Amino acid sequence: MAEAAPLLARAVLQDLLVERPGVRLVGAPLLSMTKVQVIVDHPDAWFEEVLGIAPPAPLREIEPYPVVCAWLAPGEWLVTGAEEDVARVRDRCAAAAATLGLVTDITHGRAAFELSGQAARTILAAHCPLDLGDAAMPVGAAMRSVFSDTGFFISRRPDVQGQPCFRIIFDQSMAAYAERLLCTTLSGASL
Amino acid sequence: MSGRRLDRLGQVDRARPIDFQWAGKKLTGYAGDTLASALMANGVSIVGRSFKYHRPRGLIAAGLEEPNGIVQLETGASTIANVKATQVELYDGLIAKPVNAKPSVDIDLMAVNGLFKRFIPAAFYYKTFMWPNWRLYEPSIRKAAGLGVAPEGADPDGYEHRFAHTDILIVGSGAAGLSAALMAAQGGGRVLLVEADPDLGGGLLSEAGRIEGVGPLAWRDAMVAKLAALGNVTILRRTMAFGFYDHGLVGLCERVTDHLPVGQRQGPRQRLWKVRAGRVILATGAFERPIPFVGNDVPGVMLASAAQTYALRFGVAPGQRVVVATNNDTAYAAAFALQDAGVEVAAIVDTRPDGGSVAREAGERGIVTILNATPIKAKGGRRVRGVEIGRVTDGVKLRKIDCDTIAMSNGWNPAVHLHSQSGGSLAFDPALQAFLPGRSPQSAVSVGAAAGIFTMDAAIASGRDAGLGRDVVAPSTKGVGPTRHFADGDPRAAKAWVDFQNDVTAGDVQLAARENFRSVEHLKRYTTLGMASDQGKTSNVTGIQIMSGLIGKSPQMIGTTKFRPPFDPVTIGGFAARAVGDNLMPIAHTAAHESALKAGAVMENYGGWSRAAYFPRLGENEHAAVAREVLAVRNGVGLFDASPLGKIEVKGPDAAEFLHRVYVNGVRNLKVGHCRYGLMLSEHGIVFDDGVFARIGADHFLVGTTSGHAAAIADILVEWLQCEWVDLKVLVENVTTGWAVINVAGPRARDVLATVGTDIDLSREAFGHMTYREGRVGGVPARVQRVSFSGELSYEVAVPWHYGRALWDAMMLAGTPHGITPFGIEALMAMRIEKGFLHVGSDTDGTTMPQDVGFGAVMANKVDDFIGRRSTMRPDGLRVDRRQLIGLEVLDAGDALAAGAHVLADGATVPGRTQGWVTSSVQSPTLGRPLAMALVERGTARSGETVQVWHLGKGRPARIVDLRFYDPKGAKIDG
Repeated sequence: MAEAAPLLARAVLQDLLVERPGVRLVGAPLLSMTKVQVIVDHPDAWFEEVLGIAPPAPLREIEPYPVVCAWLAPGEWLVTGAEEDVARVRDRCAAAAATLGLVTDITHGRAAFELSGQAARTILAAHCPLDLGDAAMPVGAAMRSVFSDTGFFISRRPDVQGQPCFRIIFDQSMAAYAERLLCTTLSGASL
Repeated sequence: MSGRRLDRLGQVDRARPIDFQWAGKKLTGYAGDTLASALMANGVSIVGRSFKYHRPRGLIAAGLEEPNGIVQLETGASTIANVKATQVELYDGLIAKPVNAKPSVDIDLMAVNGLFKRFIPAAFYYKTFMWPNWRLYEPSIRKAAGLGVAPEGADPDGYEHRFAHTDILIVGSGAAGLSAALMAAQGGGRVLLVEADPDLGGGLLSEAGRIEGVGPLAWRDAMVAKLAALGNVTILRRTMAFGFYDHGLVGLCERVTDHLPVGQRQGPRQRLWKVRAGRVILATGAFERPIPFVGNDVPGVMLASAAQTYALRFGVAPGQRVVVATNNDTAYAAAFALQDAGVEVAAIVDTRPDGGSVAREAGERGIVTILNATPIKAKGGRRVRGVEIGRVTDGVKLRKIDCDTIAMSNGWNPAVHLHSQSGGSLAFDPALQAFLPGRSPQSAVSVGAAAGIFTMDAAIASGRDAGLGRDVVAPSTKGVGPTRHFADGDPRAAKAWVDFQNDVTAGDVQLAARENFRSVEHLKRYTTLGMASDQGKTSNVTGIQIMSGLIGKSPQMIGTTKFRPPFDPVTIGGFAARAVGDNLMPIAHTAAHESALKAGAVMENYGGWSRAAYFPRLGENEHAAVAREVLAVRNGVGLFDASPLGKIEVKGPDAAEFLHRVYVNGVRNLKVGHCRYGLMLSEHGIVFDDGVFARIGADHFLVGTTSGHAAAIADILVEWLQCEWVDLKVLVENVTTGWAVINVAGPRARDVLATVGTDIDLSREAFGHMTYREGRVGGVPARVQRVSFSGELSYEVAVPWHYGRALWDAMMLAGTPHGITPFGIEALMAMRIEKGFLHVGSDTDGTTMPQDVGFGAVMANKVDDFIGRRSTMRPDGLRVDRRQLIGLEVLDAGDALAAGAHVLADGATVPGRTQGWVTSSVQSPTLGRPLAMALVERGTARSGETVQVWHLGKGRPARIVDLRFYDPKGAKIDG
């Protein structure tokens, strides 16, 4: 008889950390992620009623401690944070939405990184067509776009030591590809 | 006499000599030189041979419009073909050589082509080499023609992309561009100024005279300093704007390390920018036109502006004694600059009756001005020795002037390329004999010479207006004088070059007109005028003017050929950037990838996923490994990583109704906890995808798709919901990569799963075939489906992705007592053929409908509509002779049939009309004989019939049979 619960030792994810002058890339393997979708008549009102806070405006995220809620589409949000906090939000949303909602734990399906520093924009601009400037992408901006040949989610997190910080989330199947591109660009040659 | 370095003048750094090689000879230039200016300074007058007739050619221009100075740069893998010498910054150790010359540019054996020139005019290859066929001659013609040589090794350089956004993009840093940039920057917003040259200033770099009281370079420096003091300006040098696309998208190519010695280059060689600009100001300047006269391609004939640039910017005299030929004022400035540099100006030949103030200044300088005159013929072969001057009205020879250089100006063509690419209109200006930019549908405006504004003050004013967002109004222009063109049929026209790079003469344009290739596009294709790397920057308008005179149609009516990106050649590496090697097409890895590798898997790319094809043991080939894996599953248990299988959650009150409309099969009546195989069609009624869907809740489904279609199917479902059935309350989420799927299959599969540990009742009664259960496996949440593509007892166990490898390893461990065997895609494919299971993409093509693959009855029994149903009932879908999927049993002793082999009528001995083809084939490890599936006309009604299967000239007898070869009653699959 094999061990009763051999899988509980979840595969250890690599905690990526690459630092170069002016830029820092770290993995966020423990970030829990849930996608909330509802098909109610007034999604924003539903959000406020269920979670007790106003929902993020389009293309923005809010950070009602201890989770971050990002707008993805009308009636569609991404909730990120520590596992137990996100699970709490997930359960509350799933219960409230019932048949009118699809609340999906996507933690295993995504890979998250944080890229910060003076050169963070330059690194991203090698692969992403978004306008990453302060005006178009202030702290709290959140959107989906493309990163070279794959899709991704990006949000502008609070600045770190006065320099911009971005959270970028990829489908986990494309994480190695994105990581490879980021590290190549980070190699310093492009900065 | 050839060019020489001047003791003074120019912006080269005489304190920094640079050694380089040209055609194997060691030469020296200075920092700040281009390869072209350094060659000229070293007295090199022949820099290449012409494309077709291999005539000796010298430098004509000093910028990117140069048609002759095409060189092969560097050697080995680093070699770059067809670079313009005028664009190559000189660096230590540079190695360059001419192209298209054997054995050398000085003695080129292929110059013999010139002797047969009359027999090989424009488009001669369209008329000759017809018998026996073109391909017989093509290799030797291509060898004789062509320019440089592509490197044989892989490109050792790296490239990258960069996206940027700016409020205002200014292309060009001449007086107009700098003025525009400063005004725009002072108005706020982000300003990006790009300059193709390493130095800012554009025409200012070779300008004499004064601007607003100071010299041109001092004026430039002051402007650059003001721009640098503003925090909102980015300046990119060595950056060419090559394309203007929709919505303010402008492509830039930045040469990052091209100017450095090869050994000192680090990082990307070039960077391709994609800039979104709110407004674009085009200060791209203008190109001077050559004059079409006999021998105008002899080395020593060049554009007047180029002669001025070589003297004033690079401190190089193009010759000792120059004749300046012109129809406008600007060439006088070149004459004066050359005279000031110490070059003797033998005469200025002007087609105008009155040269005005510039002619008077020439007189004051002691320069002879010959009015109403034009060059008729350049004397000399390898270098100009003189020029014959004729009356502009009738070409009657007036006199001959000895000289070694002819500096010509036939007017200017504004560089309207980017404006035209933006969708902007062009208008022919009769006074300037040039096309000027009209309005652009995008937020773009041309300024300075690019707008036909050639005086310095007006150009600066236009830049400032554009920078401030005001309309640019061009002041009235002083026109150019006449140009003499040879009459149609005049044999001299065949020696007057229009397009230097492609060896197109005025006579060739005349020939095109005579042969009725009169449209500008036909002219281009027939003569090749305006093709190749310079894209006719010096030749197009002259060609149009000649055609205009021949056919009596105005240049405006003739129009220009389409200006397409790139404005100047861009390396393919720049477009590819990081998308090379592993990054060309991102490959995803399955959850148990590492474990599969450890087990010796041979991985292959299946629809963007790296998956185990088979697991060979020592000494096994693919065939043996696959056979072993199949038998292991049939007789014991096997393990397969099915993680890439598409998994889409569909939920909502109308989820069942929605999927009922999506699938060919019925969905509404599926019970919770049950699975069903389903077929999806395109709107055209064609089989698009298949898979098993499970009802995991009353309002909740898990839709399975093929691995390659997961994302596409999810998108299609959302599109139907958002665009067609907006009343349905359904939500969709693609969870394919959130769940790893490990498939344990074989008679001992239940034992293995039980050993791993689960709270799900695995008994046949509690968990039957085509049912779904949720629970815990190995202590983690799991979604388990009893579905089978192998035909054996089978469980597809889905766990959150990052548990996938651990589940694989646990299954392998648990299965050890049962001899568990990992199996790959190829074994799975063999087993599904043995079972006669459809594989969309193999057994279907772009014409296959459900009725062709056994779903006719399913469709007939379904009363409701579904996607594609109507299309299946088109007359073509109702044809009785449609190809239907059947099984083939081979009647000879051979091995597996070839997939793709054609099915012919019984007894066929020669290839004939096909009745269908083999879609899947295998040498069955289980049954020990070849099996095949095929799409054959009226196949299902022909069961038992013998056919010939034809492949590569040989026929093999086969019999049409039921395609359920193995366990037709499904006893094994039901565990």
